[in-house]
Amino acid sequence: MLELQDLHAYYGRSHVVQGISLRVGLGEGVGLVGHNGVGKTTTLRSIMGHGPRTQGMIAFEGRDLHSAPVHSRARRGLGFVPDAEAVFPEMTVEENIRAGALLRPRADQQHCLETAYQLFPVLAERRVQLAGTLSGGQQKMLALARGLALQPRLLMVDEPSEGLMPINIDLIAGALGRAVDSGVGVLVVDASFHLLKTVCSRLYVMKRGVITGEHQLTEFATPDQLVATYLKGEA
Amino acid sequence: MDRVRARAPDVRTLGVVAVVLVFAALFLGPPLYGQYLPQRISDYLIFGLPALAVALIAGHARLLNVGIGATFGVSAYTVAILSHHSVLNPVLLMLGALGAGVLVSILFSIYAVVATGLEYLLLTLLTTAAFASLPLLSISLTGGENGLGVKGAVDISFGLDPLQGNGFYWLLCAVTAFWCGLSWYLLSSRAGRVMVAIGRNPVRAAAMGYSVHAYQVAVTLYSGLIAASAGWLYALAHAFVFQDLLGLADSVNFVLYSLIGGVDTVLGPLLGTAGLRFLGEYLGQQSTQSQLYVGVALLTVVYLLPSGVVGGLRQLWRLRSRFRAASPIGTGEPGPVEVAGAVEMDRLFSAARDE
Amino acid sequence: MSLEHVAVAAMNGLVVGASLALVAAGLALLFGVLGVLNFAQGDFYMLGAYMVWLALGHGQSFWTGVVAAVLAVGIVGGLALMTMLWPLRDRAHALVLLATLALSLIMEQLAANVFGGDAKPIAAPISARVPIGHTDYPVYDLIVVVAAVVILVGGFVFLKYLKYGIWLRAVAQNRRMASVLGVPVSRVYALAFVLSCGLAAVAGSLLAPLTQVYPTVGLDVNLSAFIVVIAGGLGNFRGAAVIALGLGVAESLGSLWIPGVAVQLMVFGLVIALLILRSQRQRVLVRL
Repeated sequence: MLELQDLHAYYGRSHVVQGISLRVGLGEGVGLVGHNGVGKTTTLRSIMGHGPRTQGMIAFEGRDLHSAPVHSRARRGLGFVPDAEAVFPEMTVEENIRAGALLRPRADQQHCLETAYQLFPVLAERRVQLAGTLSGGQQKMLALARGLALQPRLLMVDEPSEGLMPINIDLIAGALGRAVDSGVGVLVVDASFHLLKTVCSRLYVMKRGVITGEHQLTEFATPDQLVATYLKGEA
Repeated sequence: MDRVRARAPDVRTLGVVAVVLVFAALFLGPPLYGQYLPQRISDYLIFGLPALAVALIAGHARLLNVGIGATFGVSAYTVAILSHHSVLNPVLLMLGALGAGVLVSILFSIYAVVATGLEYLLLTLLTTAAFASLPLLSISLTGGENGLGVKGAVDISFGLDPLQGNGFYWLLCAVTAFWCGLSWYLLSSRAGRVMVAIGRNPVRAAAMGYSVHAYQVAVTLYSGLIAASAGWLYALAHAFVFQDLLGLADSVNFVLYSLIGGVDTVLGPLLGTAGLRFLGEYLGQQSTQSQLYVGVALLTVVYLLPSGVVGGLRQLWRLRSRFRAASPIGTGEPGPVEVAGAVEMDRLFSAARDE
Repeated sequence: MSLEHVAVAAMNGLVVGASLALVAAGLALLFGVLGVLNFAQGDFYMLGAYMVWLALGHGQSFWTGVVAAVLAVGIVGGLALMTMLWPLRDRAHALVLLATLALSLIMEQLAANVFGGDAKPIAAPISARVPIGHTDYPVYDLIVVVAAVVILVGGFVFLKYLKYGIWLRAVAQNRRMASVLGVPVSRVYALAFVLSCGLAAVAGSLLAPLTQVYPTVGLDVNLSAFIVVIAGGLGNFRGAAVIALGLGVAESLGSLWIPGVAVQLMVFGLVIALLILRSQRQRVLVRL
């Protein structure tokens, strides 16, 4: 459903992503792991369409995304939850979710709200609170809940577990896992072994702008085994 | 303060020679040429000095102060007001003007300490707009809307007549040469380089142990002194001051002169002033259209002018990024430097682990 | 000083404040969404006034002129301004400010060239008066205040509840996330420009009978609008409107007892102090 072929991404003259190819299918959870700074976030941003200058093929559901603006990629069913600053700070929790749902008819908007509150009840408790006053973890949950509630075909999530308490990591992992089960494609960048195991069946290892390996999650029984792949490179 | 030997000696000597030639031409040329040229050049010099002040504070120190015009005007008014109160000693008048300018600069220094970036600009803008109305507060003192004449004839200008002879003109040249020379010296000194570093990245400079506010106050006072001396000279030369000298209009002109001339240099603003004012005179009777030309010139500078504008104001962009980064709005994408930096750090990190 | 004097002064203040509120709200909107400080806002006000004069000169009614002002100046002016500022979008604030300043200078000069520098009187569409105490107060002035309030309340409702209004706020608060959620950001930008210029134009056209029409009619309101927007917090639509109304009334009442210049300077001083205080406490938050 999502396919990248020989993608290069540049920030100015900085060649951050140096030719990667990957694919994510319908109802498949795929992880992208690696050190900080290797280009994982840049890859996600390239797919979404904002930020770097790109070369190479990005195809979603068979169509090349190449020159489509960000908002039309979103409307084709591509969702993205960034790792930070993902909320509208001066809007309430409820307004934040609704802001994403505005493209749909009224009834659907209501449904989106309910879905989001079911996913993370803490959001329902704080529905009239300004999103900017939420804790970092709560903001991430809001962004993720909104992202999922909008029922994208493919959801890309950047570091969802970072900075979260284990109990919330569980919640998020569960939510993403259920999304995958229900047919949503998920491409997630994360370092949490538990989350990756719950959500993904496959993962790519990225190092210095290139993909150095593709693995099945079943290959790893412990976190150390996973970390070993991107610390040492290919065996 | 150690000097920077930035270039090979012969190129540097060439530069110094060129500058000396320029100033020699400045001192000797117009008087030899006659025909009111000294008076016209005087005008360029009087308005060029505040432009230089703008270049120093906004270009090198990256403090967007649009209030240099206020300093200029206040100093000119001080000379006029003092002359109406029997102060006719030329030295006292000069000190009075400079002192008034320093006071205004202290106000702007406070702004530099308490605010940055856009807010600093807005503070200086509001203050300058407010200054334009100040004379109306006490019409008996300032002449209100009618302006104020400067009393004392040639006594107040050391016996030099602005309208006759070359004495006054050489005084102007001397003052200009003094400020240019001092500015060059300071800019190439360690203090000057620290100032430029602070302008580019105050946070890093502070982290290196420099007192950012002290330097900002210093440059504000220094450029204020330059503008104040210009205001003093204006009062002597024209023997009349009026409200418009205080407001935004002149301030904008100074910014324009220095932008066009090149904010990053010392001679640039002076040349820019001369060029623009000459153009204004040449288009002579079109003085009714002068606003149009100023607007077009400004647009040309904004859209087309290379590194002078872009480089000098790039810091404001960085300040804005910092300003926005702190508020919960999305920042711009990481610039190439940040991303490359991250990749670079990762290389170091990986290299260590790959042992 | 009778109560009547105060009431009339307050009313006058409201009229001034109302038009100021419209101009300032437009300024705040544009800054909130795009970070653009439009120094030419007062000149779109001026164009609005000239549109009314043109309409009357062509035998149209006053209200037709107002509508024409909003549509023509808002749409054409707004989009022209957007086109002009588009190349500067990633560059420093100061450059945009300078560009709009240049535009302001040019617009004023062109207006003087095309229409002449003389002040053209405009008759109010309604000449009835209503007694306040012993004074007969023009009904039209009251209508201006009501119209401004209606527009501003409508603007607030629009921003809060309607799709494009919510999108405007979303883009103002987090442009990147807004586009990721499917908001057509450049369309929203265009809307912000159009609304901002339209607000200035409606203010200029409504006030034309009170101020007459001349090339620099927008200068005073421009500076005051900047003061209001700075005081209310850049990008704060609601704050700008409220502060403008308050400022209009306060200045008008203030000048009953203190000479006008002193009041103005006090206002400057207050805003400067406010800005300094706020600078110390927090960043200037963007909020629509």
